[in-house]
Amino acid sequence: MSDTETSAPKPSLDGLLLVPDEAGTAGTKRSDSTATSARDLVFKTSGATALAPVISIDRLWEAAPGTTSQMVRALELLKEASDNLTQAKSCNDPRTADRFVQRVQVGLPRLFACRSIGDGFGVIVNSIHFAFANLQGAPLNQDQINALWRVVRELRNKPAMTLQQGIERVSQLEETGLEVDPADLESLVEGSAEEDEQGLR
Amino acid sequence: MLSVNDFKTASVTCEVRHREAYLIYDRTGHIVENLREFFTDISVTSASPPQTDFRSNEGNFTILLGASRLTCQPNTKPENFAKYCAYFFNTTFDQLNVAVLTRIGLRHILRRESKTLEEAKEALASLPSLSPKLAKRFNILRPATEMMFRWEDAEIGAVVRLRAETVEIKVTTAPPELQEEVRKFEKRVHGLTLDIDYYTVAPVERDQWNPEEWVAEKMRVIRKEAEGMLQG
Repeated sequence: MSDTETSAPKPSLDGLLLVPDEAGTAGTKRSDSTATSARDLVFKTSGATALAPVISIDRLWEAAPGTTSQMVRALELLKEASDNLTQAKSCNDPRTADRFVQRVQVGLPRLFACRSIGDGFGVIVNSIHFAFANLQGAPLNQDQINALWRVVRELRNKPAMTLQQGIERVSQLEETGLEVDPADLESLVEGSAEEDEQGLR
Repeated sequence: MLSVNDFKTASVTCEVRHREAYLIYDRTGHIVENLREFFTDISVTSASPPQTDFRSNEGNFTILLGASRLTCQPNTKPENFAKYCAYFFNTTFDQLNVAVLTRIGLRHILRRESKTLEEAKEALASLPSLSPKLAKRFNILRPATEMMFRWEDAEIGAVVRLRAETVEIKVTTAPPELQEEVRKFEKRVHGLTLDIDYYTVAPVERDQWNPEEWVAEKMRVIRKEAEGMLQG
């Protein structure tokens, strides 16, 4: 694995370099102790078209103790939620399953506080919140628990997903009958449509 | 005993490599225009189809067919560097349709100046648990002047270099015909360089990576690990 190259300021190269970075840009040198960039830049494949396995999310986001990273916090919370939903999925007793689901609901405000890590993350957490609110205390059915589990797991693996990707995951929740929009929003939209119609008349 | 606080940042760079992004031939102008909204004084310093370098008050940028790089000024705060990285990489990868990152590297170079080169060598030789025992090697009976350590597994890697050296800075900005008229800037600096490169080995999907969060966190990790090494 070759080194991270730098774009250090480029002084006259008569003598040594301002930054001895062993890199390979115009003002710098590449280390002769590591592999050449040409080989590193080849995209790793295994088999005909398979990509090399991507990094695990926990390795990518390993943190030093005492971190204040929102991403690290969000991944911890998503792991808790995912574990609770796994338990809920495997429960035969609906009341026990609901207890695990309620734990997920309780953790949502803390996840909401991490919404700045990505637009997709924000839209999914919002939608789950409104899905619970619109159920008004009614328990999730098995299909809904499964869908929620899949979405939470996927969000944990791809926490920086785009808004579009987030909306696609929210659609998966809606397909199981979950209402993910705020109740007031629907009446607002209907009211606005009626006003538009009256205006046209 | 040396501490990482004895060193000053010389440069900090984040470089992301990816599969060849051929859209670079069409969209470099778009990238620069988009970056100008955030880095308002950005200007192109050199341009060719597969590589463009530009510069602003915030740092030096490079986009290549298979990589993008941002190097910031030594006095840039880590949280600001993280913000600049987020804007630069998100803008570039959106334009180039990059979805998978083959290597993300964060390189932090620090320097501790000393009066003489000998003093820097002594400081290096005095590091507990790092310096090899003094012995005649290759018919040279002197302490090592450079040490390099690499740790790597299938997902993450890091290289740490420690080097006692003299760095000569020469800056000549005038064209050749005016160089007699214009004062050159020259300086020789002795010291110990601590060069840490933290990087990913396994590919990273873009939707796994938030540049602002990652850079800020790994800057902390690098500092903490460097301190651990120096303290032995």
